[in-house]
Amino acid sequence: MDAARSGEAEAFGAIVRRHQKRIFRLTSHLLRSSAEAEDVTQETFVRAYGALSRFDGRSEPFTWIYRIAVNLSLNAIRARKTTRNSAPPDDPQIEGLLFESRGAGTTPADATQDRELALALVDGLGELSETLRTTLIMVGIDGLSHAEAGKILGCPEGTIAWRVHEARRKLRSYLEGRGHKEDER
Amino acid sequence: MTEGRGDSKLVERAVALVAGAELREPDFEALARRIEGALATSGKSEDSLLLPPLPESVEDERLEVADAPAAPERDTLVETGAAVAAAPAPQPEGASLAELARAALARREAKDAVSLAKESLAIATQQRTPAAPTIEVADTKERQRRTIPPARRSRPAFDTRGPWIGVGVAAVGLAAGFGLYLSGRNRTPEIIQVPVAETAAPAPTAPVAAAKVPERAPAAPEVTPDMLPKERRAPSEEAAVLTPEALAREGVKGKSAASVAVAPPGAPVERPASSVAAAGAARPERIVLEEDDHAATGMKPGATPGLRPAEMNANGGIADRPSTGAAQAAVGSVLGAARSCIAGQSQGSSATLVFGSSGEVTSVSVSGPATGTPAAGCIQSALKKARVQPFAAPSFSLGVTIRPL
Repeated sequence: MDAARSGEAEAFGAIVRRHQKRIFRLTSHLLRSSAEAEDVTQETFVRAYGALSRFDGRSEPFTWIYRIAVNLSLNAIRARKTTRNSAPPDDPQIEGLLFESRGAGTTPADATQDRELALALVDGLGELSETLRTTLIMVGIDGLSHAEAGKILGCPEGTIAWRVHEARRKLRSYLEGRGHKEDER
Repeated sequence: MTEGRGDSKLVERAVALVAGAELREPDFEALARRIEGALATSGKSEDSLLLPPLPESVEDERLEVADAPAAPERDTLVETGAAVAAAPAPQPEGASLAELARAALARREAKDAVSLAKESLAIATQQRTPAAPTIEVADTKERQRRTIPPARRSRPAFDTRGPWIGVGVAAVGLAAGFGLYLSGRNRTPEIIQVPVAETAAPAPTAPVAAAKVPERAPAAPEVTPDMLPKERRAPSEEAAVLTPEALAREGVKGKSAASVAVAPPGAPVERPASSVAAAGAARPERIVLEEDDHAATGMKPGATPGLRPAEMNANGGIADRPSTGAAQAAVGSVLGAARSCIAGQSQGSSATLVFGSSGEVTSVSVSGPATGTPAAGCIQSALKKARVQPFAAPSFSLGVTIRPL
């Protein structure tokens, strides 16, 4: 990172290769569009490079870049003129689920049930508030700890914990409202 | 802390399914090269991108509200699943309401130190919301989400004083309006009860009048009280039988004996009501009560000419004449209609009402600019509707000045 701050493009290229996959995964879940996720991932690193002089080293480089990625993703979501009621056709989550279901060795009935449940969750995530949705994706899907999510989002761990709890509570209500039951499978 | 309370296997499984799904990934090496190629053209990045994207906000205050059983939260998610929203919210596993309340209190105490700052931040956030482009609201649901939570609404410094101030201002406005209305209504005509002699020219002193008496009525015989009714029925003889001395013996109060004595024989004792009313035309609207000769005729021998309207007959409950209030009310009730008859005219007119002993108006005479015009008939018909209580005297007249509306 120090080398990158001193202006070495190659050093920053190493940072890009190290973190781009995870940043792409995050933006894919936030944006629900692989094409947009790719654009935002690129934009994230370009903007990070432009702000390297302001990186004070108090946080991890990944945390710093991750924050930029979340900001850009939220800006992209807010810039959308229309809201989505269902997942777009090129939703990487849906395609991934289909791929996973085929290779998981489960029965067709189970695969269908899992697919419906996952689709319902994706729709439920879309109904959550921006704060709850972002926090749950970071913690529940992307696997960040509460502490890491707190540093990125600028709030205490307790707040992250509450957001996750609240998001799950709402999602459970939503899934039950869609006919999914607690003792399914 | 609360990480596991709202969890369910259903959500966990669904989240795990989504998290474990393999995404169709791009060619990351090509992406990295593209990024490296774009670095050369990158400018300075905005500071806003480096700030925490979702810092602790007003929405996070909903934790306390959401944990409290009396403040159920309605969110877009719940609204979408209407059936679920109608059902009671499921309790977290192994947590009672009391435990939830205690946890909420603990959280609140821990946050006491920063509560003031958070509150300021929340207010500032709300104030910035309409102008800040970075927090553009995507849709109506987002706008609803950004409203102040119920717990914050109950804080008196911001929300409860406003309605009370509004109520107070409204009450003051209503009171002022009512006062203005009353002041407008209370402009009732002034009623001055004036004995005939008082409305006449200034009375000369008694000695002067006495000096003139011989010239006008040289052979006036003395009048006894029991003769008065008979003499009054013959007005032409009235001057001859009335002397200042007789009137003084009768105890005339409020009248100048001289004013009566100087009247020529046969002349009416009172000044005509119309002339009295006409004299008052330039003044604010008023009603002048006058005694007329008919009323005087009905006087008992012991009655005093200056009898006040409220005084009663000795042998009954009926007043000799209508009281001031009754006369005022009777005329006031029809005066508006009479005034409307001459609406638009520049000058007012006068009218004399004569009430019969039954309390009804027996005649109305109009004088002034309205005389001879259709307005006179209009005034007469309006004033004839006035009613007073029956009185003992045969008649009672009133002079009224009618000013145009």
